[in-house]
Amino acid sequence: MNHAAKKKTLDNLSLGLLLAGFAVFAVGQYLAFTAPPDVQQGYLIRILYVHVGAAWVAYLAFFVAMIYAVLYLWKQNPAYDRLSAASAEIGLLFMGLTLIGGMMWARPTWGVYWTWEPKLTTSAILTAFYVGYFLLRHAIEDPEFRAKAAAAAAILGVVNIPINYMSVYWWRSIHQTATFDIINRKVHMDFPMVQAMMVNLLAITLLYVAFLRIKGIIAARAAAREDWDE
Amino acid sequence: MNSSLGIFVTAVYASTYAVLLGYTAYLLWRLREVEGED
Repeated sequence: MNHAAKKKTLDNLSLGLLLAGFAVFAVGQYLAFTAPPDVQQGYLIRILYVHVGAAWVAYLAFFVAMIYAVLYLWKQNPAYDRLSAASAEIGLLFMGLTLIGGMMWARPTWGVYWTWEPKLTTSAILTAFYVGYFLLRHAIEDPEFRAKAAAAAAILGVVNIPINYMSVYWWRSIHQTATFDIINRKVHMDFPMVQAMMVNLLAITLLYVAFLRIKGIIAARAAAREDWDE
Repeated sequence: MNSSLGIFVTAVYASTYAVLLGYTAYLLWRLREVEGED
């Protein structure tokens, strides 16, 4: 087989998604830094333009990990297990970014980097759950058992997402309600701010898709290599 | 912008750029590595 022809380092679709993601992100950054200050938060609102996008992609990535986990249990195809793990890894990465953004926003707003109020507590649980997901994957050597256990964990983990999202409504505390309030169908921002947030959200989503695709390719090649070695 | 607030905004944007560019670089490095293993 002609390996040089088969294994191109980065395929055109992945490259296109990456470039599109970074191009839209550059536009999003311009809009974020030219949007007017918030009447209460001032320029601190700029943190939310990336914080909300990162949180959305973390939710999305964990949800996609659950979808691939279900597909794995249904079809027993190891490719779905690899994609589930890839999506969970990216979700954890963006969850980390969400926590950093939230803490940097909380310090000047609330006076502390962290407090155990419902939104932050459920975010910590969500993050800890997916750290546990990877500890579980590393603890099991048998690939089939590992994939099944990880699929069960990925399905269970997604339960945390609506709890985390709804925590600001169920237990009213110091965290502000959702910027995009899908419960009451309201957006608590003016147009230039919404525009900055949506463009950044789109950019981060495109980058997530690119990351997932590339990570999936890497995992597939690594698995093929392992099969070849055995 | 108040300079003390600017530090927090800068920290968030610096972390975001570091994560996005760093993870892209990591993926490209891993992609090249698994390619080399074939």
